Amino acid sequence: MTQIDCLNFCEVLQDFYDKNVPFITTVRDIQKKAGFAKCERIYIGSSFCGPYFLHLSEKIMVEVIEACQAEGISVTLVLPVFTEKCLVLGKEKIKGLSAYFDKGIDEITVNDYGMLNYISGNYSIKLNMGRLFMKDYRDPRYEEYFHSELYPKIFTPYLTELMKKYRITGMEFDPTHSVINFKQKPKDIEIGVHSPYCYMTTGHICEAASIHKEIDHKFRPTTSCQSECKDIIIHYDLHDGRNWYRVGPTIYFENPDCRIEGINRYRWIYFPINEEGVR
Amino acid sequence: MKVLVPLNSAEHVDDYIQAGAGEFYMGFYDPEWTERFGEYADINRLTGFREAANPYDFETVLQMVQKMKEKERTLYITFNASIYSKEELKFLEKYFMRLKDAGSDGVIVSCMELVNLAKAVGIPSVISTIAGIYNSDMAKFYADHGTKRIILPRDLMLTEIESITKNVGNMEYEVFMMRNGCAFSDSNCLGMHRIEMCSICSSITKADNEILVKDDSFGNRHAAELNNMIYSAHFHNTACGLCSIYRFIQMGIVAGKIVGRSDQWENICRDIRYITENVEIARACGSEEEYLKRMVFPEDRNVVCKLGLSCYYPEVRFV
Repeated sequence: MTQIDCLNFCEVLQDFYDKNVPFITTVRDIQKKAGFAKCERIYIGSSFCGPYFLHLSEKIMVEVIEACQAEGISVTLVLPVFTEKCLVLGKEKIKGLSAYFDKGIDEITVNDYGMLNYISGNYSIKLNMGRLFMKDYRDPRYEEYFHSELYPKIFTPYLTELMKKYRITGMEFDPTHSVINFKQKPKDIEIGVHSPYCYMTTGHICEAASIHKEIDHKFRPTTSCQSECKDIIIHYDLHDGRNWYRVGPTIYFENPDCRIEGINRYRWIYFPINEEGVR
Repeated sequence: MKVLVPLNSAEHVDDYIQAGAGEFYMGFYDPEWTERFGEYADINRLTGFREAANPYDFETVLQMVQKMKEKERTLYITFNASIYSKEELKFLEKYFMRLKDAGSDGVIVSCMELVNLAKAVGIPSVISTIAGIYNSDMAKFYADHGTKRIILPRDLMLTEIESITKNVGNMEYEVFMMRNGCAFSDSNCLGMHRIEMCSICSSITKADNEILVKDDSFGNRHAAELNNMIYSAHFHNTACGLCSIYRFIQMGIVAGKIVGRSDQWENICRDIRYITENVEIARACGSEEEYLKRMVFPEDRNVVCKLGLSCYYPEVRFV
């Protein structure tokens, strides 16, 4: 089985940049900790948070893209689901980054049908369906379910048609179960699997973003923030021997041992929150 | 704006209607489905709560479709699991066809596959909040595929709702109005909703936690821990949108939804009356300011109406 080693800097790029270490040094440090011989691709942007994506400095993103280009590392730009308030700004930011499409950024991951339609209609670049499209339940509190072998439900005839219409080339999944079997995947689709954390729930109300708000303005959806999520992470103990984290608006559980079956090539997308510095 | 009510108690339909219910929705259970697809496959998002949330079987649902026609009320049937397999979609087609034959008003669906299936069968589709229509582009995508109505997520601001309704017209929109809030997104909360254990948000809120702060000064830690205390203990213990009714009427929102398919019928009746009365007041008012002075509050306003923590749309009162 061929594993393509990738690092996921979505939600955490700014944190690493703030350490004032050359980005490629950071990549090498993390790939070593992840057990990779070489990082072949990085993911930047955000899967979960529109405001986080908008706050990401274009200067930082460009520096990172250029550094990766010099090292032969491919870059995937990941777009979150923008709520109405952020949609126009999100598109403007995408336009600003479009100078790097196919010159550093060689593919885009979208997480909703609206953005799939928009990117497909306005840019000529490879497209992935992101992890928010994949809605199989994941819940290690139910051991029998968690330890069953998942055959992702998304591989329907409609999906196959969608793949053709929008020329989708990749799909991203979370490590939801002990075993995931991808034998039903459409031909020519490259599978990416996030590791070692599985996102379980997310939303547009961010606890961290409310830290500095007055009490009657706390916990509003898509609220303005100062990227407090880069300074705070909450660890939960559900007494199940597993690490659970809240990073920004998203809850993850740890599942480093997810086994992949049914395919002979996939991307392994490592999320370096243990290396990020809060923990 | 009509009041959309969970039909969880057939013997109290007339009570609901008398209180002001304009439309109903319901799910159902089917042992054949469970036998075929297993314990963890949902027909709708509350299948895991079994008869507590879906007290009737499919044959009873078909009878209810007829009964509601006699009572001149709309009834939608819920098919809003987070995802369905190819085989499950095929199985659902049988339900859709029988609902069509029974003259059903429509199905509440969570994915594009079911929008297309409903269209093929010839039954109107309503987009569940599980589909997560957060912006105009997404609304347009579903509108272009022929859906009749979109239920907008409860974690949108009023200005966002207004913008979507303006940008994508020729569509019915429904909003959340009473009973249960959600700290996450219905569309991407992928933990089980089952009777054995509470939802994951509840497990997380009750779990021991450790707040890890990068710059761990007293001030930073105090702010983060206080914020977490308020979030865990007081945020969305219940939820209410009554203050926003005037604005929703101005926007042309067609229905306000009461959630709580497993809740007591008396409480649902009470909430129907609140919405109905406030819709009447709002229609008679010349401004939002006037409405906010004259509106009827929930009887537990001494708890609910505090600091916006139980508001679906807190920006109306807490600007």
